[in-house]
Amino acid sequence: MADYVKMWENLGMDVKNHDNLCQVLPTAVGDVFMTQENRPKAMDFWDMVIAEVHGIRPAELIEEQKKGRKVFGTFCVYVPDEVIIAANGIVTGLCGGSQFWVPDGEKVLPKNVCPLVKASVGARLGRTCPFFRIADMYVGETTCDGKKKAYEILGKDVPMHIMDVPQMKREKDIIKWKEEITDFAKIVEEFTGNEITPEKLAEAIRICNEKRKALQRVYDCRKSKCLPISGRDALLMTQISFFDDPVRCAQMCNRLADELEQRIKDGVSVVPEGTKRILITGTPLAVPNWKLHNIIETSGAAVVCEEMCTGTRYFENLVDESGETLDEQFMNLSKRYMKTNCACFTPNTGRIDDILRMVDEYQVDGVIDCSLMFCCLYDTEKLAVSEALKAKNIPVLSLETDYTDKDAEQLRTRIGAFVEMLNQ
Amino acid sequence: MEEKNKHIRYYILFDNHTQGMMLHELLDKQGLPNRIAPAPRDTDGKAACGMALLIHPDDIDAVRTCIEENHAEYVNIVPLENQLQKKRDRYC
Repeated sequence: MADYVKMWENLGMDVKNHDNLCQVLPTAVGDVFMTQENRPKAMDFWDMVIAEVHGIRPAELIEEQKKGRKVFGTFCVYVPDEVIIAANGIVTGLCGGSQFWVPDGEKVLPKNVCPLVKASVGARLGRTCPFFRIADMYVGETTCDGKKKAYEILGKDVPMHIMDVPQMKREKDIIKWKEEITDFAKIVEEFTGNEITPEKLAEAIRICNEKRKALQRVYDCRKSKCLPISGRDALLMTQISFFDDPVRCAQMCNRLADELEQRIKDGVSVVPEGTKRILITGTPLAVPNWKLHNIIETSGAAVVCEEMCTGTRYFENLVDESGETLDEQFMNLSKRYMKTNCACFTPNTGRIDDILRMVDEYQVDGVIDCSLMFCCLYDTEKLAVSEALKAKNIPVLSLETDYTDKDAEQLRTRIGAFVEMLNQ
Repeated sequence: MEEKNKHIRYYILFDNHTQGMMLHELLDKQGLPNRIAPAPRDTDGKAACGMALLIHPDDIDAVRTCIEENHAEYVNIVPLENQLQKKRDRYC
């Protein structure tokens, strides 16, 4: 076996405890992904990445650090990767998606904090995730109260910069976010020792736009009635895109999209004709959180779109590439990022508009609105989402879950009944 | 026998992912179905999340022949029962 133990020890990880995570990952990957029939060949790349998820990419990051590059860990799609890339920094996602990390998070956080926040803190403090050990600086943001307080705890253990995300979307808020990006650029320049020039930022904007276009191409294929990829596979692609090199990510997504487009031409679908198509909306599904997708897709339906941060919110809308000065570019970045419809904003009617548009675009039969337990923002928005969908006669199921397996049977019952209702 | 085969999958294990990817590419070229998967812990006592190649029982003889003919490197081939259960609901 590939032996990364030395690397993990050098990172100061709790190797013994980390081994407990290594033991359960193959079972989950096997059950969720390897039981599927007729998967796209291009998924090989993501299969390899997930098989060595705490090995290959961490080793790459460490090699780049040896060359003097800095790694920035982020928790939110509002943090502009472009700024980091322009300073020759590397971005890696840090959101924790495993119950394994929750108990270590609960040592310092109240139990009634969402599992994503608890898992993220637990992964760092429990020293059981290489990405959390490797990142030289964490970049937080003010998109929820749980994260804001968690960042104060993490900030005692690792260099931390917090970006203040506006809570409304007025013109002055877009200007405020531009100023926040400008300040962030100064921090990144100081931390990396590299100046951000308009030319470098233009190239970084282009790189990130190409990645977004590639992810969108794969999602566009999911709009076809002939469904060429499962929701589970598409979710894995999106989850890994937060960790991968952006240029390679775009290459691999384009390679996958090539195959999916051909499958559509050839009439190759991963589900029988007439399988009900589900859009999932709500809180993010950080890797390795595959529970909801697996239950839906083994209950006779298919997930065709995720209106969430680990979904369309990550790649929809491109940054205008016409800016020539840093000032113009920061404004263009602000305008793009402020189009992302997160529940931390009030009002957040843009998210409802997005869901209704996507129901149409992805030919959706029913919507599942699912939030992580204790996420007050998305839980509260369920009423508005549900009312808007019901007004259009679109079936909707509202759910709440966490990272444990305990509610799997209950979810199977509710989702099974929902799919049965769609089939009638 | 056929019923038993339904629940058996063969895992080819490697020293490192480079070795694994070489065999993966070779099998692909020969048109032999295989998928990259994490090596199940039942096959390995070391603390590493390594890759394996997952082979269906119907294809294992052809895969063994291909490995032999091409002197492909690997560590072991292990048959395991009931590794893949789509409704087990054991996530990580």
